[in-house]
Amino acid sequence: MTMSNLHPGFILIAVGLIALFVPKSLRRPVLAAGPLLGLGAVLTLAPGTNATLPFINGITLHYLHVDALSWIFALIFCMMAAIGGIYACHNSNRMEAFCSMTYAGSALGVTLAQDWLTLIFFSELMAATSLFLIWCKKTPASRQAGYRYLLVHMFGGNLLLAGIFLKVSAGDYLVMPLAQGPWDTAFWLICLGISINAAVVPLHAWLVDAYPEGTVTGSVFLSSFTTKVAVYCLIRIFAGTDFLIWFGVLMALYGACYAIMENDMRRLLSYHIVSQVGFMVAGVGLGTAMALNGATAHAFSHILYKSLLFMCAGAIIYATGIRKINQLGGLAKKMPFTFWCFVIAALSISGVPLFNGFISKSITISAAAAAHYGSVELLLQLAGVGTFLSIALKMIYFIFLAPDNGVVIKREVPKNMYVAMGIGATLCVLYGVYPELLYRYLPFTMEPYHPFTVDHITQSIEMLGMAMLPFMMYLPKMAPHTALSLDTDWFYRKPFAGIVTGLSYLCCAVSRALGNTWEVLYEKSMELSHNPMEFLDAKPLRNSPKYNPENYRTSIADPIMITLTILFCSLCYFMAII
Amino acid sequence: MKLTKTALYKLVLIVAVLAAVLEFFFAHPHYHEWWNTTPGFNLLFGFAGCWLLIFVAKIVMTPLLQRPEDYYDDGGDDDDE
Repeated sequence: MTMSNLHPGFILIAVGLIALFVPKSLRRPVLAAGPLLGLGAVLTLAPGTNATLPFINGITLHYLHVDALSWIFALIFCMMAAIGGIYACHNSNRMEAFCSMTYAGSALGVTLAQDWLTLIFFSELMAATSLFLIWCKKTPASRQAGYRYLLVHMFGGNLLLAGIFLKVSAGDYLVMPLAQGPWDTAFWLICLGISINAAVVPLHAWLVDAYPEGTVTGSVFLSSFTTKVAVYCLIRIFAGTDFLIWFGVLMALYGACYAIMENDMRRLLSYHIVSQVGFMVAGVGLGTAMALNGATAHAFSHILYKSLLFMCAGAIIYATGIRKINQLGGLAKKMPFTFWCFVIAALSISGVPLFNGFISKSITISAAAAAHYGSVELLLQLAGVGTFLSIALKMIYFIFLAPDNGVVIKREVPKNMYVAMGIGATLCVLYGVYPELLYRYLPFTMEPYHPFTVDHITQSIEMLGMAMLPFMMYLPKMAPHTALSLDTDWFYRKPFAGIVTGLSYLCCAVSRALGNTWEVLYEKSMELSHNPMEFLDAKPLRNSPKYNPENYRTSIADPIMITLTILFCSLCYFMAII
Repeated sequence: MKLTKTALYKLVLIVAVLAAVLEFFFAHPHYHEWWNTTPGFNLLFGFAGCWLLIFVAKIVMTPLLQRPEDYYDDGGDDDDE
């Protein structure tokens, strides 16, 4: 590898800017080929490269720091930007092109940053561009989901920013592992901020709310970056924080269970993002070299197969306009290429041997066993069974193999989407049969891991094979229904909304009551001050027909006399002073 | 290819038994808890685990957590702006 200082993130942001301004005919090649430049840049970056930029107050920004961990993540992010660019290049929305490339570029900015300020800058840029990417769909549902996404990410970003402020004002400018240090306020703030981005349960509701509402091409980008960048930050900063193990297990099972209930295709896949990131978070919590390698390898493979799943779902939505599983069926004959890509991705995510999930998921599970966390090992295996159930069994059956209930292909899927899906599927199989391609770049030194041992293979086949039986037995019950599953966002959507509405009503009521009181007071005092003589004398008579106000008025001479007297006295007084 | 349900059941059972036999004779597990060394444990785990997940998701969670699709719509928010 030749040495270079090219920052692939800046290249991708430049591609995004170019895509924003060029006419439509040029945008296609820019989107399809531009990210390849970024990929080339990553491949020329050697570990140990460092580049800095001076900043105010004597701080330097370490914006390009390449070591084994950041390199492998930068590689997969660039690969994903390239695949996503090919998938999206038919799109005529220039804002979406700009946002998706800038989003990918800022993800790389966070990955390659070594100091806190660069990290928070690119992290906020990611949040902003992903927000606009959701809003690109321009439906009311996506607008509202985008608002909720914005609120959650502003909150999380501010927590992270507060933690970083504490760190920087204490003089720690560089991103450091914090797990061994004191668990002070800065630790918890940064941990909370990154956990929101990593969709740790119970802070995950933004993900399942917003990702299904993006465009067909936008959600492919969305699903690949925010959570994995957060996983990278967790590996870098929080490796070994043990409470993360249990949150990871919770996420893995929570996502799997909600996915079994879910009907909307991409929302189901979003719950699976939560589940799979749970594996990674558990690996980070375990903290051993094997576990961290497992988290890294899993992130690498996950980006490939999850984006392939979103691409297939996007192709189905593009072609049929349907996003709910219970309205689909029999697509295996009508969309065969999509079907086979989906099968490859589903087998990958389930950890079937010869696909890339098998070589990466099993590292985390073995790491849990090696660290003597037996319950973690078994619970993660259970989550793996759940993944197989809802994606490989439920989705494949009800979308592709179930009896056709009249689904019509409305539009032809553009060729570039098929090319992107094909590339994704090829990579899933390639890493699955030749895992050494990934293993040689894993950043933490551990004993060589051999996935293709008899016990691993038989374990996978036995577990997944037998898992098919309850699915087949309960097949009618497994059909999804159109319904909304309540999730933790209920807390800020119902009671919080209720509190806000209630407070507004209270303020309006108080304002109205005060206004009324003032009005009453004003009227009364006007009556009283109208003519004091009247008030003193005539109150009982005032409403009788014999009342003649003229009887209670003094002559005009009296006020004139009083005024002249006061004027004369004031004049004398001022003359006396002067 | 038309796979009938019974044919599929038989296929799954044959593959599972084959895998268990292979495991019994050729597997050298890395870790030695009882669930790693008992042959055929994974068969039971896969079946029972899947059954348990279906039970929890469909029988326990669905009645508690599912609502009609327009649960969050407070009416009249499609004409904002």
